[in-house]
Amino acid sequence: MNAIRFALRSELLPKALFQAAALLVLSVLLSLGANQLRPDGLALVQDWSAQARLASPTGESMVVDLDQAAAFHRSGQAVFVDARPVSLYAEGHIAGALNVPWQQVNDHIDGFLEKVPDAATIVITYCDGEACELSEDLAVMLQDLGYTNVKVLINGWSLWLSKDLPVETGAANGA
Amino acid sequence: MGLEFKNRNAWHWVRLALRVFLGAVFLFACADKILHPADFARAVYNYQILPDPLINLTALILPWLELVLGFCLIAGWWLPGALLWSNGLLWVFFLALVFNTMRGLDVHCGCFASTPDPAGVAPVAWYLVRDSFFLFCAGSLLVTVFGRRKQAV
Repeated sequence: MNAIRFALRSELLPKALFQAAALLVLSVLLSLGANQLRPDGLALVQDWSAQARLASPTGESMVVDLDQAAAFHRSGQAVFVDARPVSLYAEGHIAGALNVPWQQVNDHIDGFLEKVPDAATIVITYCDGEACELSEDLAVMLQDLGYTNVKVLINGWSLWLSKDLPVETGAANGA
Repeated sequence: MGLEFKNRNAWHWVRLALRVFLGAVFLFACADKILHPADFARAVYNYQILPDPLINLTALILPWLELVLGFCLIAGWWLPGALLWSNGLLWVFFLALVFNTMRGLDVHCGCFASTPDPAGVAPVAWYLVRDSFFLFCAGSLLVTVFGRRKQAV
């Protein structure tokens, strides 16, 4: 019985590697050239730290650290806002936190505006994970809506749990 | 010339279809990334795999590489090199998605979820199935270009 087998054309490999390198060089030249010509071109290297990501045009950062946030919580000076989905908020959240899930923000923002009418209130948004952008996007939106004291607790939920700070479950405080 | 008109058998047409399909996928994938590099840089950052100094460079170069690969695959130019890159990139995308799914990271928002969000499971499963299909197409093309058929008894 005849069977068809495949053998590697190894003589093609050097040619393929040369072509792959040339394609990369071409792509690098095209991308850097196009970036140079764009008015909104990206910096080739950028500071992606939370402090830099959340800096206002004046250079002031919206980031609040855990000790400051816990102090605000103890004194009751700040409103905490959980930006995660309702299901995660219901499983557990910072005690007293409102829930404005960023992915359904249009359904929840009116409730938040009713519950927090004073634009000078200290509002601390949080979600979970160092790179989680839900709380960052929500914070920027609240700032755009006129809230003047908006802060972000980066990786808030994990940090809060790690220090055994007050938490609660259920969705009763959803905004 | 890359296009082969001599061998008009079924394999030829299958290979041509795979090439054009995969090329179109790369062209479609690169368009939005080239138009909105800052958004794509944020998406790369959300994967939480690359060190910070490489995020913007990757976000700038990768879409143009996809564009070049798309044209090469469709036109049949430099297929060996283009297929090495195509397979490499698709494997990187696939493994990055698997890695982040396993560690519970939602790459849409860069956020961790202790339990999978029901709304988020379907897209990730869909991405994995879709990427597996792309990998199958790219892998098949790689075999046809780098393989030589031998008759064995």
